Parts: sequence; C-alpha cells; structure tokens
Amino acid sequence: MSLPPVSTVAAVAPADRRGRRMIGPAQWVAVAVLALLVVAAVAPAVLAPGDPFAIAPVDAFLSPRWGHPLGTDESGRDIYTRIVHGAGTSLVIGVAATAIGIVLALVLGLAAALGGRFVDFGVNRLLEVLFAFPGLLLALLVITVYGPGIVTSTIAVGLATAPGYARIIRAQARSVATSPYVEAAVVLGRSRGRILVRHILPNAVLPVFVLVTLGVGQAIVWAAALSYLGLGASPPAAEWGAMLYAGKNYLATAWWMTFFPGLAIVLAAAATTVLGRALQTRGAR
Amino acid sequence: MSGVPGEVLLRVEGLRVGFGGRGARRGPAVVDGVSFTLEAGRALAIVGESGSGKSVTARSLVGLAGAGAWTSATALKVGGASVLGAVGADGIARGLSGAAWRRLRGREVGLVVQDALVSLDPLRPIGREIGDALRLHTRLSAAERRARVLSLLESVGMPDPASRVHQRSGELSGGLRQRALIASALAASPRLVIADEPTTALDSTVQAQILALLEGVRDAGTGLLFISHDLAVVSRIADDVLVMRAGRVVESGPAAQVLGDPQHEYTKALLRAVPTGVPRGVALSAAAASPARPVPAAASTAARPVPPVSAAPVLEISGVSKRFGDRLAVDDVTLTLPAGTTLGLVGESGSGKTTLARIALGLADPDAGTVRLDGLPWAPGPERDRRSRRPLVGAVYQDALSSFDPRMTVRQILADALRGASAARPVDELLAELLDNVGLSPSLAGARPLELSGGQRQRVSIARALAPSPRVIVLDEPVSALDVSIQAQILDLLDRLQREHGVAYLFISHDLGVVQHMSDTLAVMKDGRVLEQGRASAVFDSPAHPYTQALLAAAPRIRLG
Amino acid sequence: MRGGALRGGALRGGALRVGALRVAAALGGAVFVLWAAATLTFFGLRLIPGDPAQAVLGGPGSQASAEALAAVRTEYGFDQPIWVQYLRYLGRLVSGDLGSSYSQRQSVASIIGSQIGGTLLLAVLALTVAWLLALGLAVWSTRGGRVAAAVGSGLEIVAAAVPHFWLATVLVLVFSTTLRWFPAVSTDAPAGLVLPVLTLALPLAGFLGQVMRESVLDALEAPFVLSARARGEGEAGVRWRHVLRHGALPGIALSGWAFGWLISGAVVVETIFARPGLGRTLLNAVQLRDVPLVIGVVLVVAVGYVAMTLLTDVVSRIADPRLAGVRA
Repeated sequence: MSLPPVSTVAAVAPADRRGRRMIGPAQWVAVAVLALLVVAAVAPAVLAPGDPFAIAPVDAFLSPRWGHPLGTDESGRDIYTRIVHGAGTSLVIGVAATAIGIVLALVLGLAAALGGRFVDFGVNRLLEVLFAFPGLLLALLVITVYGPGIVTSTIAVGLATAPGYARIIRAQARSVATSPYVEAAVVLGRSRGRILVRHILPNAVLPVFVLVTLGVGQAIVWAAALSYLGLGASPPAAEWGAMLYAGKNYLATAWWMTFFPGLAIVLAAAATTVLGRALQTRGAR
Repeated sequence: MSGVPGEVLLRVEGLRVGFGGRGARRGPAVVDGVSFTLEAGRALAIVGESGSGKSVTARSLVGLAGAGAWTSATALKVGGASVLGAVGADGIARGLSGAAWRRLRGREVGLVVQDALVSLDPLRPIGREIGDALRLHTRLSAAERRARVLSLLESVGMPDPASRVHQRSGELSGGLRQRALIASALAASPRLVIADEPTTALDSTVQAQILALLEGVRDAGTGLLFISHDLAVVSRIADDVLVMRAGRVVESGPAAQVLGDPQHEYTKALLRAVPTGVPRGVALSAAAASPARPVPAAASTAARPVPPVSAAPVLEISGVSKRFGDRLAVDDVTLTLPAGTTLGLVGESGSGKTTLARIALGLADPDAGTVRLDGLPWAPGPERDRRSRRPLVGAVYQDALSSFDPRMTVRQILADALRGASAARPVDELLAELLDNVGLSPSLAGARPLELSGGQRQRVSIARALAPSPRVIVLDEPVSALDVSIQAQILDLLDRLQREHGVAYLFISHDLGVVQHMSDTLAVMKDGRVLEQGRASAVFDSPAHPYTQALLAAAPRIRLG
Repeated sequence: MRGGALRGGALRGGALRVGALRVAAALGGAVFVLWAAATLTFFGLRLIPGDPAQAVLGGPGSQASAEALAAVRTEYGFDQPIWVQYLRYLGRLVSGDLGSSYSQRQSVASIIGSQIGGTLLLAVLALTVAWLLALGLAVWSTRGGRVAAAVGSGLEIVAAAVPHFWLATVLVLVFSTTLRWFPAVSTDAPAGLVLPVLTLALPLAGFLGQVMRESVLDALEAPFVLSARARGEGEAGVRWRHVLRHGALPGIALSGWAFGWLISGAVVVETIFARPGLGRTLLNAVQLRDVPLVIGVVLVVAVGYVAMTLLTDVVSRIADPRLAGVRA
C-alpha cells in the first residue's frame, strides 16, 4: 500500500523549489520572536520581573489593563508574567520532543536507506504500521501506558513525530546514496566507508537541521495540545498548554486566560516554521 | 490552410523585448532590434544558441513572451494586422487585448512550443488537446470535431489514429508526441506556424520524419517560422536563415547564402562547430581553428595520422548481457578498445548504451560475459577487487553538475580525485596543472560547480576523470547538453588530451556527427545489440546494416540547395 | 475501427489483470498493517507496569476488589502464558469482539458503534470543506498580485502553527460568545456543526492549500500550459481544463493522511465542543486508563485510516494515469 508523499507526511510541507522566499521582513520578525523566546527561557526576569505564582485573590479575573497587560487568572496571577516564565518549559519540551523524534528517525531512516534491502523492507513496514496511528493517537497510546505527565507527554510527542521524520530522512539518504556523485566516487575507487563518511552522511544529515527547526514549533503545539487535554503538564505550572487547560472553563468570562497563552504558542510555532522554510530554501540553492 | 503564395504573413521591424521594470527603469532588452518578414509557403529559420533570444522572439509574436515582458517595435504585423496595440510614450507596446490575442493564437498562428515531450497535458487524451483549438476557433459540433481530429492525426502521420486519440501523451513515444503537438498547432488551419526547437530531444531518425512533416506543412502553403540551435536541421528546411546572438541579428539572408558563404565571424564559427563529416583531429572551435576550414565537410588533409587501432586492447568487453526485468538491456555485446584510441558507441535512446557504459565502469555487474581491463579481469566481481585498479578508469557524464558533491568546491573535487595519484608532487601543483590542462582559469578553483557554466562544469568533470592518469575514460553523452560552440570546444579539448596523454575513450553518444568526428572505431547499438562495428571510416563509408544506413541518412549535416 | 476497439479491449483486459493483482497486493498490505497494529498495541500495553488485571480495572488507584481482579484475570486469561493470551486476543479481534469497557461497563464494540457516526460526520464534512477551501485558495492565490501571494505563502503558517485548541477558542469567542451566531456546544444540527467543522477544516485547508498551490504553480509554468495558451485558450480555460486537475492531484493523494489527521484532531475538537464521538471517548478512556476501550478505538481508527489510504490510492490512479505504471 502506498502512503502520502514523503515530504508531506510529517506535517512538514514540501520544499519551496522556486526559492521565492528570501530573507525578508517575515524572516526578521521570526528571528526576533525566537530571540525573545530564548531570552524568556534563559532569563525570564528580564522581561517579566514579577513572580509567576504570586496569588492575589483580589485581582482574580482582571481583564487586560495597565499593570496586567494580558489580564489575570482565577487566582489573580499575572498572565503576561506566566507566559514569559512558561516559555522555558514550552521550549524545553519542544526541543526535547524533537530531539527524541529526530534521533529515533535518524536511526530508522539511515538504517533503512543504507542497511540493505531487508532492513529497508523491515523499517518500511514498521513505519507503515506506525502511520496507522495518526497524529495524537500514538502519543495517546504512550500516555495510556505510562500515565499522564510532562515527561511522558514529551516522550509521547517525540515518538509520535518520529515516523514522519524517518520517512524524510530515509528518502534523503537514499537519494544521496544513489546519486551520480556517489557513483563518481566509486569510479574514483573510494571505499564504501569513505564514501559514507565523506559524501553520504553529510549530504543526508544536513537537511535534518531544517527538520529540527520546523519540528520544534510543531512539537510545542503537540505538547500543548496534550497539556490542554489534561495529559501533559498540569496547573498551576506556568506551561502554555497547562495555562490553556486552566482557562478553558472560564472561556465565556475570561477569554484572555486562553487567548494569550494560545497566541504565544502560535507565534512560537509560526516563527520556527518561517525560519525553517528560509533555511530550507537556502539549503536548496 | 494556406495563404496566397507570396503574401506576407509576418512583418517584424525593430523588435525589442525585455523583462521586468517599467518606463525608464525597465529591464534590459533580451531581444534587440530584430527585423524580418515571412511569406506564405516559405520557411524562415531563426538560429542561435541558448540565450540568443530566439525563443523569446518567437513567443512575443503571439504575446506569450512571458510574465513581466515588455515589447516595442517599429512594426509588428501578424497576418497583415498589427499586434502592437496602443504604444505608450516610452515606446512600449501594450499589445492586443487578451481576447484579441486569443483570437489570433491557434487560428492565425499555430505555435509548436519547445519541449515536445511535456507540451501536451499528461492528464488529458491527445484528442481533447487537439480538439481544443477547434472548440475555441470553430463552430464545429462535437462529432465534427472528432472527425476533424482524426483526419488531423492522419495527416501528421500518426499510426492508428482511432485508438491513439484516446491516449494521453505519456503513452506515446517522443516522435508521436511531437506529431500530436504539431496536429494541435495545425488544428484550426493557421496560415502561420511557429515551431520552436521541434526536433530537439528526438532521436535522429525521428527527427528526420518530423522535418519531413514540417516540410509538407510549408509546401502546403503555410508560412513556417522555425526556431533551432541546430544548423544541420535548419539547412534541411529553411528557405531563409536569421542568425541571432545575444538578442541581436548577426546575419540573415537566403539559407544557401548564409550557410554556404557566411560573412559574419559568429556564423562561420557556428558552422565550423558542426562536427558531422569533419575528420578526426581537425579542430572545431574558433579558438583552436587552424586556417579557416572550408565549410562544410570538404575533407581536410590536416587530419592526424592513421589511428593505431592495432594497439593492444585496453578494454575488452566480451559477450556481455544485462537484463532488467523482462527487458534485455544489453544483449551479447563484444567490443574492444585499443589503447589510446576512441571507440564510438552510437545508438538512439533505449538502445542500451548507458547500461553498457555502467558495466564497463564496473558499476553494474553483467549477467553474462566479462570485461577485461588492461588484460586483467575487471567485471564481474566484487568491488574490492577492482578498487586498486580504479585509477585506470575515469568517467564523464552528460549531467556533470549532478556528478559533483554539492558541498564541494572545484578545488576539493579535484584534490579528492588526485588523492594517491602522485605523492611526489604537492597537490596544489598537480591541481594547477590539471586546471590548465582542461583550459580552466585557476581563479575558478574556489567556485562551486553550481556557479559554473555548462561548459566549465564539463571541463571540471574531464579534469576529475583525468586526475588519476587513467588508461580509459568512459564518456556518456559528454556534450549533448551543451551549445554547439561549447560542444566544439569540449570535443577539441578531448581530442587534445587524448593526443597528449594517450588515454583511450569509450565515447557514447546519440549524435552520429559527434561520434563520427571523434571515433577511430565505431559500434552501432540498437535494442541492446551491437548491429555493426569496425573502423569508423569503413562504417561511415559503406554501412552494412540497414539500420546504420538509416541512421546515417538521418544524421544531421549541412545540406544546401 | 473495429480492430482498434478489439485491441483496446485486449489492452484493457490486461490492465484489469494487472490491476487486480495490484489490488490484491494492496489488500494484503492493509491486512498486514492491521495485524501489526493490533500486535503492537497488545504487547505495547503489556508494558504497563504492575498487574495487568489492575490496569484493566483502571490502575492502582481504582481500589478494585480482589474478586473483580480475579474475574478480570479469568476473563482476559492473564493466568495463561502470554502467547495464549495473544492468540485469544487476535481470535477475538477477528470475530469483532473488542472486549468490554471497564469504565462504561459495556462492550467496547457497542460503545464505538454508538460514537463513530458523529466523528465520521465531522471528519467527512471537515475534509470536504478543507478540500474546497484549499483548491479555491490554491487556484485564486496563484493569479498574481501581492495580496494573493501573501495569502498563498501564509497558508502553511496557518497549517503549521494554528492548533485546533486555540482556533476553537477564537472561533467560540467570536462567533458564539460575541456574535452568538453558532452554539459553543456542538450538536448534529447544522448550526451546531459549523464551528467544529471549521476548527478542523481551516488548518487542514492551509496544509492542503499550500501543497495544491505548489502543484498549481508547477502546472502554470509547465510547457503544456504554454501550449494551451498558444492554442488560444483563455485564463479561465487554462485553469479549468488544465491547472485545476493538476492542483487537485496532491490533494487526493494526501486525503488518506488528512483523514487520520482529522480523527486525531477530533480528540481535541470533540472535547472542546462537548460533542459525543470517538475522539472524546478515546480521551476519556486514556484519562481513566480504560485499556480495552483505548485499544478498541485505536484499532478502529487504524482500520479507517488503512481503508482511506487504499481508497485514495485507487482514486489517485484513476485521476492520474501516469501513476498506473508505478508500483505502490
């Protein structure tokens, strides 16, 4: 049976072959957003000096205003401060989940592409089976086994994204391994090991950095979705998904409790997507 | 279908076309001051190499030069009516309205666009594609259109039109696709047909058939504007010739005059670059040219001495077969390549020449038969056994770019190839010598292949093959992606390197002219078999096999009158 | 004429035979995937630490009685060797018995039977809306002009960065809380379906639209379009007769994937809009660690996914004859 084209499986859209994307305003905005995120993750106090857990029952459910630019939650905690302090957690989850997914995918993808026909066959069947648990389903299975929580949900997201990456890496490695320049190296009498190290691995693995960039944003979104469903980080943690989870009961009365953490997620994911695309276009040239 | 003989169908005066920008900031002209006229029943050929502006000229006549194109002209009349439309203060013509252009396209002017193989919608039956012009330009009923499409297919020599009409272009061979495409251009009986490189990418026997078809169209009274890079093809069909270079006309006039007695240096160089009939060892490119060689093909005595085809064989292919699934790609082939000579391997697409090349290079094991290199077994066998003798064999591919690791610079590519070549001298010195040998400036060493021109890439590729001082280089269509003048330079380079280094070539090409010029011995392949082989001169002078005869008859050569 | 028709018939007969072989191979592949999915699920869930009987009853926190545990052990055969358990499990799956849910005290099959309709309705509607939106956007955004191009390149950001849970929040705030056009709690009434369908369809439309747009741009630059223009075809004709079909092809090929993605999205969307369905059932089952129910839903989704992939494969081949010669 056939599965969707490789490049599209992992919710990672195909490369823009025309290279229409240049380093323009959108890319600079993306860089700025990511820079802010990193600052928020490393030194949140610089951007938001307050305490993200400081409870002030009098100030509960304040709409956005001076002093509380993004409003407050049911315990009177400042949403802005919590979003800034939550950036680190969300970013770490995103990076960790992506790392898990990519490392697994590298092992599977490279083994399939370079390990001979039988390994390739086996890995392909395994991937086909994993694809039959689309999207969150694989993550939900993992959580069923290990129970909810921030660590499990991170691992779950990593595992769930691995098959998609594995396909892309396999295809990339295969196209490199069968490329005319590898053949040219054979004609020059280079050994298999040298060709692998000098030509195949660098050319197959470099595009993975693009996947990582695109993947971090995706992983943040997925992990937040799990938190939102009450399966990941749980309140009162200042994690974006958990904040959404906490706010969803007050949607009608305090929309800012869900809207702004969600916006943070969207901005982070959009920034990594824009940047990943720019890298991809440059790489293609 | 036809116009009145002598009626002027096309009048172009001072045509300029460029891309991008507006007003004073508009982009530079890629077509600059082109003028010509075309009468009914005549064929005008525009000849030029890539980037000469010939295709843009043709397309601008039907308003399809491309997005962002601007056009200006003193006069631009198609079928007697101007297509300039309103002309702005800056001289830029607005062109016709969309609807007016559409009335013209297909009905007044049929355009056979470039890339015949992909110019019909792969998702639609060819009958629909051809019928579209009728639907757009006539009031015929669906049934009448069907009948007309069948008769059109018949007239372009499509075998079994009734069943072909339901097929999509992917199910047709290259020649049949081109016939269908021509039928779609002819459908609404335009008085003028523009054919843009209609024979490129087709096998030479098919090429000849398509030319005959277009000749018939012209003889029926249609005006034919023929765009081509190939002088030999042009000489067959054109009444008049216009030579373009870098957007300008360098020479024009009746075909016999322009091709027989060229005045401009560029035309002369182009003619000199055509390899067909030029003996072995005679330079083709202008740079290397000895005193101006008479054109065409008058036998030169400057040819090199009789090639030593009796020399010891360096590559022996005996009884080699290779099967892919049901198809026998190579069928019991036996060939011998004497040291220091060139064995030309000629055949059309699918004849098995590339598979044979891979077997000779030890990249694919034959199912049967053996290959010996320098008297020792080479293939089949494990790669391990070949590795120590790999330096004896080099390879040059058609698509040089894809044969380079995209991360590497020219220096890295060549240094890599020089590894283990000679420990006695520093790599930098060898590298400089290598670049000099293939006529590349040392300043290019830091460049990546992507930044080089096609000719430069092929030179790097040759340098890489040459680096380990091989005894044999396998060249698989080394010049077919290049313009004719660049092709001439590369062929001259290969010839010189062979004389200087005594390396033998297995030279593979679909182009009989190129093979004839390069080869000492020759083998003709078809459907995996070698039909004929022997001394090149012998094969060319008295071909024994009917296929070779047909191939020779169809070979592109300059014919006058 | 007749000879041609006959030959055509013979050709078609051969194609049919090849086609039948291919279908058989594809079905075999599908059965393998389902078997492997069931096996993986079976052994995967054995990884749950502790007493599996306890796990079936909701984990250590459930304080199940000793009698209940013993009953479960006998019912599931936990006292038997693992391969006996596995074979019994497979045998029950083949006969359509998915076990019974601990949390709902019903057979899993009947729970799924009662919930699947709503989810399928949601998924099919969302897929249709996403398709139409995507194709429209792909064709419109390639007309030229800055706005269209900006919309075109914004599509993938929508697809990649706008999660269901946030989109649903915004849609509810705007159309339910503020404008009061549509209810925030979903029903099968048309008005109650609008927001959930939009929540699922918009990101998918962004994704499909971007892929289709690439394909449309490729087609617009293809020589056959130049050829059509040279024939006198107008802009509308070029788009309708040529480009649209090329644009739709990747959308068809991705529909199997999209279906799985929609079911996954239904977990979130059904929860937000308090809509009964498989997704919400699955989420509840995961939260309660109702293992039989989780297995049941996941396997049913896998069956749906595999079936949908087979279907899109067939449709792709019909829509694009070039694929006919390509092995799946």
